[in-house]
Amino acid sequence: MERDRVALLPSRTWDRESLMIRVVVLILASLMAPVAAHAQVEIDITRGRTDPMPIAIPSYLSQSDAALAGDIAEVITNDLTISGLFAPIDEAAFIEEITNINVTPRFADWRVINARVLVAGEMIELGDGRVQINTRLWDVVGNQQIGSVAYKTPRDNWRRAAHKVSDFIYTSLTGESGYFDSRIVFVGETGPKVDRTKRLVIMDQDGHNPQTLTGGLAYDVLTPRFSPNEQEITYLALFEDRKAKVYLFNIETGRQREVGDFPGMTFAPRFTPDGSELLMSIEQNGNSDVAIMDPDSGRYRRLTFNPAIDTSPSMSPDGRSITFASDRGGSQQIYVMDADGRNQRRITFGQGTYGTPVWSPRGDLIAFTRLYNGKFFIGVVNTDGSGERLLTESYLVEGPTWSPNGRVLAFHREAYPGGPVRLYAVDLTGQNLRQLPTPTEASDPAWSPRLD
Amino acid sequence: MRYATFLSALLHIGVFAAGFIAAPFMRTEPNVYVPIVPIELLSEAEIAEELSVRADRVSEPEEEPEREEERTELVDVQPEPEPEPLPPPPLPEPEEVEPEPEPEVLPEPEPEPEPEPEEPTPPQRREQIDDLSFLDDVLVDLEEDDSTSPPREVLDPEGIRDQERVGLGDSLRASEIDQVRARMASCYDQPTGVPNADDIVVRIRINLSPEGEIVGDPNVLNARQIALSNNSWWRATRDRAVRAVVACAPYDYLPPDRYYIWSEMTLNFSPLGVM
Repeated sequence: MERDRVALLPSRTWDRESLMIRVVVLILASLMAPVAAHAQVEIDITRGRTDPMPIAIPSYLSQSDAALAGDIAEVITNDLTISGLFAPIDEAAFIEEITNINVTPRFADWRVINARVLVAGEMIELGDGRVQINTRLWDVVGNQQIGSVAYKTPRDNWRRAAHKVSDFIYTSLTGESGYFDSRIVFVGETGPKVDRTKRLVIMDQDGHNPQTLTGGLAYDVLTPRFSPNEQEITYLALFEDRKAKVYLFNIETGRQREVGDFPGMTFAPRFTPDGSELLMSIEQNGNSDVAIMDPDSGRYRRLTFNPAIDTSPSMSPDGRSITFASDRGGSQQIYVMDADGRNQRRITFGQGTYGTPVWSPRGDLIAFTRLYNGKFFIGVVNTDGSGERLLTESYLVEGPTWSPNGRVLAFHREAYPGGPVRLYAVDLTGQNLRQLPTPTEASDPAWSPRLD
Repeated sequence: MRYATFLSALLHIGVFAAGFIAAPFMRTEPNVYVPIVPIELLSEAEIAEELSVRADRVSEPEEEPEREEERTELVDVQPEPEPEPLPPPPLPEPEEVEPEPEPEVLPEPEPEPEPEPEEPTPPQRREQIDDLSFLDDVLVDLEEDDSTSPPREVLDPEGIRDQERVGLGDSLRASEIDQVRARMASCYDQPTGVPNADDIVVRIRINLSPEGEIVGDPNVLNARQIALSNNSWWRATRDRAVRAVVACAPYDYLPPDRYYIWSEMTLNFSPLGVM
């Protein structure tokens, strides 16, 4: 008996297996059937609106000071407008009046006026001389809160707090860090063209609060550059009776000091991304080379040893590479090398001359000026030399500097020979060229890092 | 005498005028540097307490009493003990009534065995279909986790992939696809200047009712990949794509007789690069 059963088993298990397989196949087939019968509609959306995003920014609410609350909304509106990425909607179009920012708005009222996003905020005086600024960001299409943020600050400092709110909105909607809470230092130029007085001036990114930093000093200032992580500036001081010097200027303490003392001339100082060292070009016996220097000890080492003129060094944000301009190939072009000076390679090959390369804080692009056909251009190029794009042109455009998020380039422009020199900014897509308001003629802008 | 008076008047005026002329030159340059004043960012916890509305609250402020708990946090005054935070009352049907998807007319194949994630949904979610506040908790990948591999290439500028399908009768026609694209061109706030834009795509699947309304939640198919990517541009693109899909509803311009084709659509959104 026992044997028989054992003998029988194989065929029965085989049956069972085949059954199992059939069941599995059936299940699989039934799973796949709808997929096969119902081909997915799949559409690639590669084009959308690139116009500025409509955004509603009603006046902030306040029990005590409606004027200040209105000013806060105005600063935010202005910030977002000048970014070129947002189009604040005229208040006259608003249907719902926000009376309490902690209550969900009537989204449909905001959709009707084509808003994508609503900014609802309030300003509360804390009684100790400080104000608290509360902001909610609403997605009126998706009917949800995107985020909220609150700042406390001394009342007089409300403008900075408003810029921080702008940064919050910008970051929430673009994925990029903001740049509104930042400042720009530049060379304020006064007097006739042949005898200019050039002083260091600092202002908020939107042109407010211009302050002269070297007003009492008897020398001109060239090429100011911000330290990437401190409120410190390096610049070239020009004297009437002796050679130019590289200076460091801590704008918080007001302390200035000369950096090192070189046998020849030094030019175009610029901080490394960690702020610990200075890149510059040093001229000796008619030959300029790129060098890196420790500002504390004054020790420096040359990175290029080329009989041609190597100048305008700028380091990549990861600290691994340096871009600079050189005329070793005939005309001046842009080069990239490793941070130790090895592996020098040319990345631009266009006609005309290229100068003042500046590595983007985002790391992906190098900005430059190009002189071609008697005109100046400001452009960007990928760090391997591909994808060169010219963003703006004029009789003279010079001195590009990146916004701290690598999205905007500021520079100075002289529209016609002998015309006034003014600061301008342009988005890296080439859109949104605009003038930065300055109290005097201005050149050589340098964008600060975010204040924080 | 008269001459003297005239001279005197002239001199007085002269002195007065000189003051106006000279003043601008005598003005001293403002050189007092005002140091940066710090700003205190309220901590996350503080903000969460002080600034949080209930996301699923109704749009009509009258319908709900003010959230006392939030107000009190902001004003430092503790009024009467806050009322029991009542569960949001059942909502009235919003204007656009969402019918159950009715597959009456159509030779719809059996419902797909979709891995619908269990929904810990409050009841009003079904009703207010255009409320996307719950998207955060549906960030579940419906695709296998390919976060380590580069995002798949879906750019199809010539539309070759779409063209190939035309004529098979199991997809939208090229003209219909163009129509969807044209509408999206105004609904989708496309990010620009995005680094490595070619590597970024947001895949959103929507289910549509025969009337062209979105049924259920738009599914971000590669949500997990996006969340893990640490790429804020990608996340911003995701948010904008979801907003576009919702803003572009209803999709009632698609041919009703072929509802079985477009009852479910996947839309692949990409941002623009630096160019």
